Amino acid sequence: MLIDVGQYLFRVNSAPSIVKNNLDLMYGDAIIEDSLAPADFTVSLKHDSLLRKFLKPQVTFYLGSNSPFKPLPASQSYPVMEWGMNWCIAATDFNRLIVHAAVLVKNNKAIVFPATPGSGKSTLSAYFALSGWKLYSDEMAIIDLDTLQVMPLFRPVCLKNESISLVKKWFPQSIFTGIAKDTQKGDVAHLRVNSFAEYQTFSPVDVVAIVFPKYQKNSQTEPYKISKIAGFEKLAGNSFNYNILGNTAFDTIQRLVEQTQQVEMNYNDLSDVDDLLTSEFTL
Amino acid sequence: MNKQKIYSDIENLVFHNEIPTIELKQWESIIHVLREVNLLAACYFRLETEDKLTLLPSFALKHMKSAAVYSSRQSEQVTFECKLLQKILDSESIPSVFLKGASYTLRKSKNSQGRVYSDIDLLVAKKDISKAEQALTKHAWCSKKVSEYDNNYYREWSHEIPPMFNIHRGTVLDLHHNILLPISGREVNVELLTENCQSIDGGYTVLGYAATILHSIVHLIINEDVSNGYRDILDITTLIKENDSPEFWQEITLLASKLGFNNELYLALSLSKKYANLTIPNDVWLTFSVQQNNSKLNFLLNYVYYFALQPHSPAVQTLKHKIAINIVYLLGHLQKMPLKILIPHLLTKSFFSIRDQIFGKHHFDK
Repeated sequence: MLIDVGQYLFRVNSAPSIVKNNLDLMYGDAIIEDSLAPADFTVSLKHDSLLRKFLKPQVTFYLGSNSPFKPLPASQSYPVMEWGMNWCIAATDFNRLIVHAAVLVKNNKAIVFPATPGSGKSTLSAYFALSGWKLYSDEMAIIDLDTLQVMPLFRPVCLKNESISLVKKWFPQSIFTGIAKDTQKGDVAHLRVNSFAEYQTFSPVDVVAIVFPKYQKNSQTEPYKISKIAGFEKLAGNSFNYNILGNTAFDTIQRLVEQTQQVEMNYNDLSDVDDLLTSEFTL
Repeated sequence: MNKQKIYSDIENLVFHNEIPTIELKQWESIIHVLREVNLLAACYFRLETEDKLTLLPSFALKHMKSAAVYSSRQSEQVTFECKLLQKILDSESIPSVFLKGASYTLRKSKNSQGRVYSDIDLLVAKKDISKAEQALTKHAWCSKKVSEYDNNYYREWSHEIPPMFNIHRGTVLDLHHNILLPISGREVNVELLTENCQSIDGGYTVLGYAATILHSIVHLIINEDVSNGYRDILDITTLIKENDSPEFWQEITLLASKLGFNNELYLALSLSKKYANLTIPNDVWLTFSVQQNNSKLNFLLNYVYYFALQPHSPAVQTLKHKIAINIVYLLGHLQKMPLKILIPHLLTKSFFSIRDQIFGKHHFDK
């Protein structure tokens, strides 16, 4: 089974059938039987030991024959697969700057939302993606070192805890995997927001703003600009490969910060955020 | 594409910088195997030197280049750590010698380009080892938590102390007082090895080239774990080519015979010849007449080491590779320990391994 997630091609060698079913549900037409292109990664999800297949079953994620994580309970199989795929990208791609962030695009302009604590990044991704924005990624902004453009990825949104029922309430038609309980991130479910055909119309775009949202109950949605230095630090701090790219990452982030605006924003209502960003950046 | 063909393409690429003429899709296995044996970055730099990067399909180039970025960063990190380590030990007046990977990077030998490391190896005199450990502990280097069994094993039988790591940066340090287990019955006279040490830029001390290469060879052959064997043989071959001179050959053969490593040198040179067509001068070859007529040694060479060192990856491995790896595992242990120590050691290890297979590897982790 091959999955085309946009920038990368994954070959899934073996996985429990429940995982394969969820992959079908999340990736749909991005799953191909054969390809003329070589796969970037061969991954598999395997039961840990014979006894463990029946007693408190666990699964281990493999890239080739190496496993980057300790085994996790089999009930978390699908999230483990998704996190493993994230790991493959973050641990091996040093040709681009990769920032732990959501990327949403409107009118061919991208806004990057770094994953600062309490940002509600994934809820925001889901809401925006199902309200007319294009989701380029829920998890990682892949930024070209020369053009500074951000690349689209075809991956589901990973929702946690209360946001699962919130999104289901807002968008009753949405396509979810089942809920994996008690993972290290709490209860987790994945959400598909685009068809692969829609995704294929996405192309690399310029970033206009780096927005650091902060969910605050009963607050007014209020943006304020932050200094370039603060923007730089926050972006570098959320970059997966800043310390590997070294100077290149420093230069790239500096250029990115200079050509974009950095905004912090308290919010209570996501539709206000949508309106505000749309008017602020003429999207 | 069959395994034999994938392997021969890899051998030609790694040792001869020959880019295979294959369909784009067939690059998948090659890149994945090179990733598993940590040779993507080495291939990048070797092809760069020969101006051949442009001949690669963009798929192969992007993966090699990415690995090259990573390895360059590691090399900076290693240089930085060595500088700090040197300072700590100098301040306590403890003479130290950087070994293996760190020494390649510090002296900038060709094989250091694109090499990745799991740790830094440092040699100090046995009498200084506790003092060195204490000095390092004061500077945020901690001993890695190992099981009580492993800790006793290290302290009682081994030529190094349990690995240390830097609590801020996670770098791992192996502090040695010898290059082989003392109980192997082949305790190496370290003084012979360090006799021709070199001082290099930055004030570091490393072994002379012949000793460096011989150490690499001994480490490869007298070892139960050859999962990095392919990388090691590339190291050895590249280092020899870089230093090929009559004096070098004289020095390494003399050192090997003084230390009793003639068989190991013969095996490694023969392997370099098999994989990389390394040219070994005739007069050097003649000194191995005993080894050439030793049928057991030649069996090990042709049927065990030749296969066991090839990439440990399902894309190229067949049954004969797996058998060879298992033989090396046993041999490596046998060479390191007398049976009365080896048998209890293997029993303990296999108890833990069987336990882990039943309950899962991390079930008993604290």
